[in-house]
This record gives sequence, structure tokens and C-alpha cells, in this order.
Amino acid sequence: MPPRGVRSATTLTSEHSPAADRPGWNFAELCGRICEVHPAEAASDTTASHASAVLTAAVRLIVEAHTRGEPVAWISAGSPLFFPPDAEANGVDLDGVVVIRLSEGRNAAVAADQLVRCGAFGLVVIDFTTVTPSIPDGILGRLAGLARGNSVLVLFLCASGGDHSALGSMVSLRASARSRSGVEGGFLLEIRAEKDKKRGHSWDWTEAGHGPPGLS
Amino acid sequence: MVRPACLDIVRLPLQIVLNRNPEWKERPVAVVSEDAPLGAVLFTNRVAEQAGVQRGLRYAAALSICPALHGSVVGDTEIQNAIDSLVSLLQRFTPHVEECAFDPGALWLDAHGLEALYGSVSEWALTVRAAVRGQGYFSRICVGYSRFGSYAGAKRAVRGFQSSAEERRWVRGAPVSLLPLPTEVEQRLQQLGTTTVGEFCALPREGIRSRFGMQTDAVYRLATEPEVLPVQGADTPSALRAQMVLDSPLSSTTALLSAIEGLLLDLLSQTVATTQHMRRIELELDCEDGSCLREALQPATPSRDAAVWLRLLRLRFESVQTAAPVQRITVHVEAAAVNQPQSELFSTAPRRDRAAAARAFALLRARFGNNVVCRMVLQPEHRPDRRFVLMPLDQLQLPARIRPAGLHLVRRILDQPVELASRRGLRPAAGPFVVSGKWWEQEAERHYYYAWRGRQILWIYHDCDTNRWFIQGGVE
Repeated sequence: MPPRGVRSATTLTSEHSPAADRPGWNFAELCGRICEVHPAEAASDTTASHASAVLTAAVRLIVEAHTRGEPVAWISAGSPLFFPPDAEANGVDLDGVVVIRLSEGRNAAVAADQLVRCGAFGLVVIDFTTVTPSIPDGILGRLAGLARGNSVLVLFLCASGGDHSALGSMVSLRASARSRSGVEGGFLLEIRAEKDKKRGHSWDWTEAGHGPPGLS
Repeated sequence: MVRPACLDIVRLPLQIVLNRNPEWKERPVAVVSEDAPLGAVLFTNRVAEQAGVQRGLRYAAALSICPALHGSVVGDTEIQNAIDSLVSLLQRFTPHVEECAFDPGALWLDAHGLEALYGSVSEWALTVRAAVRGQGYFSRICVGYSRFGSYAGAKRAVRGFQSSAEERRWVRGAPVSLLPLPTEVEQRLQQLGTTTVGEFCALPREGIRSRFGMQTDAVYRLATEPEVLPVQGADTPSALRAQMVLDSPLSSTTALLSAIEGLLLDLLSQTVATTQHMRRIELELDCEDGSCLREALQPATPSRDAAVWLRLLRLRFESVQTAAPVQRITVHVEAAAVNQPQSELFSTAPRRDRAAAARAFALLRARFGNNVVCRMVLQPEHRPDRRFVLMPLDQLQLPARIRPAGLHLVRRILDQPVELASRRGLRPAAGPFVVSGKWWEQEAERHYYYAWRGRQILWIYHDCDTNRWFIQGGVE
């Protein structure tokens, strides 16, 4: 047993093992990057029990940010908000979420720039699910630099945009999120990273959970 | 060493009533929420208590128990006026006087360093108490080592503590009834077997606000969270005003901005002369057609930095349109003295800077409107659309270190429910879940359902009153 404060070489190497280095939908993996998440593309079978899980994927990251003591900003660019009791049921501290309500989508980039630039937030979510995002590459490039410099995760929630990113090539990670009924009840949150500039390959991540009250 | 003292003006609203009507002193008196049969009894004097009148009773019930009862309403303005006069009196004895946010009769005073003037803090406390008595108010004062400790001590007539350890020990064993909690919360705590402050503080933080409400949450936070700030002195804001009547009315934004900047710089120089900082400005633009446009600006912290104010002004005027040419400009300024913090020798800045967030919020408010930055506050309601409200936010709160719960899918709630034209193509997923709101207002029941529509899970309801279907939101 090593003395307190000393970590054995075995522990350190195991943390850097391929298993520990596996990509995942977590704050540590995505911090300092610009990410885009959208609903999974339409399956040919529309009776299949899976649905968009964009909000759930974002709330999952908020919970992780909060466990690290990181404040979160949620910019709503004309989109309806998430239902706060559901976020709280996931473990979100609503006091640590600042909501910026903007009437027009084009103002979201300005607000995001201010919030990422001030460096006071660990996660900035921009909800574009009901409006078409129109952010020039120049602004996105500046956001990417600020996010990297201030260790902020900038997460764009977008509507389904086919094969192409709604935001263009400046996005560091593009993922789709969907929920699916589990085999033994409950739901599975399935996230597929379609483009990951850091990893260079796509990856999948799944987590089991429950539906909102009444839908388990 | 930090030595906050708490001055508790015992049942302040009742004392205001008795000072207003000195002839009632020997009679049964109660402060009521409204002068109507259903008004609630908020405070009572000893004579009324002995006659059987208790806090929480309806005024009509109290009168049936004690027909000679004198009831009176005390408005918020009256209470605030009394507090303001007490604050200016107390500022003769200490430089810092802070009002308690959840108990209007309690004031914190900074007792640090006053021993040299008064011999001891006990002597100082007695002098303060005598001065308050001279104003016609009975009070209790306790000099402690923390805000909460001194508050609890004052409530139980403890004059002081020898050490912070003694204070903590005493507070843990003090009865929970000394806390300013609503009657129903007191009853629920009793049912839970929570009788001491120590047991109250041991309750899990997560559920306090949602179960017991905002006021209880504020008390709980004061009791459990470490104190970061010393006693904050209440400043006395002063109002400044400047006006310009234009010979030729202006319609161009650039020309208007230039005129307002001139007025603002004049006012800034006045605040420099009085060593004050500008906290808020209000602009009134009187137009030729008789209309008046009003805009308010507020920076993150009071400032007399012209660059800060001009930047906010320009951001706001990017989106301002006047209906007609402006013929008169009035600028109202709220200025106040600001305590400049001492420079730190070693930087201990946290990883996330709340002051930087406040500056960003000020810029966003200036650009997009004063209600753009907000936070979500849960409400004890049944209907989903009433389960939360958005409240304006000035200061960023760091999140509590929470333990993540299991994964639950999250719903999106529409600002306004959208009527569902047809239920064709919907596949039921779950429901109905009956929600009835305010039955005493005869509000209609709603039957909530989840339904699949293609790849969407809709959250819909049937309004039993109108027999129509609406989309409340969706599961995403």
C-alpha cells in the first residue's frame, strides 16, 4: 500500500490504458471544443421506437459540468426551453444554469461570443433546434479559439441536417443522439460521433436510463 | 477578526403599530396581513397571546376568540421606512450595517475594531441597544463570530460568545423554532422530528428549495454555507439628474448618442466630486409627437468609468428606434458610495470568475434588453406550465457539487401549447395522467399523454373544459 498522496505506477499506467482512453460523451472528452449534436437521421421504418435525444444528451453534459463545479449557460435562440424538473431529476443544479433568452437566432452567436470570452462558464449550450443556425465561419473560428483558451465546451443543438454539418467545417465534433426503448424496459441514450477531429474516427456511446415520469 | 453582531428588533411590525397607537399598549393587539375576515394574524402582543390569539389564525377567528382585539396592517413601505431610519441611526455606531434579506427586523452590524472606542464589544452592544430604545424600539443584540451565529444568538437573547467554537456548539443545539420559517414549514419540520438547528442543517441541500420554498432555502444557506463576505455596509444612494432641451429635434441615432454622452460625462464628473459611483441610469427621450421612450442601463458593478458606460450606451442604442424626432433628453442617475476592496498580495482567483460573468451579463442586457439573462426557479405547482418561472439574474451562482442521478430523458416544454389539429398518425405511448390545477378557481382538468408521431415522442394533453387537444412539448 503506497503512502497517502503517492500513486503506484500500475495505477497510473492503467489510467492511460486503451480502455481508459476510450472516447465517450463526457465533459473531459469534449472540453475546449466546439461540438454539434443533432437528432439521428430518419430510419426507413418510422414505427421503430426511437426518437431524438438531443436535449437529454445536452443535459447529460450539464450534469457532468456541475459535478466539476463548472457553471453552465444555456442560450435559447427562439427555441422552447427544456423542462427544468426533468433536468433536476438528472442531477442538474438549476441555480448553476444561466438562461439567455433571445428572440432571434442571429443574436445567439453574439451572446455565445460574450459568454465564452468572459471565461466564467465551463459549458455553453446554444439551442438551434427550431431555427436555422447562421454563424459565419469567422465567428465560429473565433469561438473555437476562445473555447480552447478558456477551457469551455461549446455545444450547439441543431435540427437534423442530413449528411452535412449545420455549422460547417469549424465544428470539432459532430454527433447524433437518439433514444431507444430498452429490452428490459427503460430507454437507451445512443450517441454516435460521426465526425471527431481529435480522434479521427467515428465512435458510439450508449447509456441506459429511464423516461420522464410516466414514460419508463 | 470578523465580529458580526446581530440586532433583532423584536416583532418589528408590531412595535410599529404600538408606536403609532401608544394607547393600545395594554390592550390585545395583532398585526394582520389584511384588514378583512380572511386576513391572517402575523404578530401578536402578550395581552393578545394570553387571550388565546395565535399566529396563523384568521382575523375573524381571532376576533371571535378576543372581541377586544385591535388589528392593524403594516405595509412594506412602512417597515422599510422604519428600517431606513434605524440604519441611519446605527451608522453612528458602526460603519457597516447590513439588512437581513429574509427577516425585516434583523440587522447585522460590524463590531470589529470598536473595542478601543467603547472599552469592550459588550459595552458597544449596550450603547447600541440603548440608542435603539431611544427611538422607541425594543431590541436584542448578540455579538458573534458569524452572521448566522449572531442571528440565532440575538433571537434567544444571548449577548455574545467567547469563541467561534462555542458559537457553533450553541447554534447546533438551539431550537429550530428561532428561525424565521413559515408556519407550515415549522409544522412539517416538527413532523420530520427536526427540532434543533443542527438537525435542520443536516437535511440534504438538494430538496430544501423545492420542498420548503425560497425563504427556508435562504435561511438554510445562511446556516450551512461558509461566509465569504464581511458585513456589507448599506449605502445611501443619491439621485442626480441632467436634462437637455434641443433647439432642433434629433432623429439620427448618432446625434442622439453624442448628446446623451455629453450629459453622461457631466454627471460622471459630479459623481467623481462626491466620491460616488454610478449604479444605474435611466434615460427619458421625449419625442415631438408626445411619446416618451425610457431606457435603463446598469453595469455589473457600480462604476464611474466613462468607457464602461459609453459602451453600454452604444450597445443599447444599436437597437433603439424613436417614433419621432427627440426634443428633450433627461438622464437620471442613481449613485452610491462603493467600498473598494483591498488589493490582494497573492492572487487567489477562482477558476471561473463570477465578476467576469456579471460584466458579460451587463453587456448582454444592454444589447438585447434587461430581461434577457435569467435563471429557472421551480414552483410548487401541479400543472407543467406552472412548474417553473424565469427570474432575472444579476450574479452568477456557482453550482453545488452534486452527485449525478440516473439518466432520465428530458422533455422540452413549449412557451405556449399548440393545438393539435388531428390525432391521426399518433401512436399512444403512455397516459392518461390527470392534472388538475386550481380546483377552487374551477380550472379544467387536463389529461396528459405521451404519444409517438414518427420519430418524435410528443407530450400532449386533452383539455376537458374545451374538449380540445394540445401539444405541451416533446421528449428529446
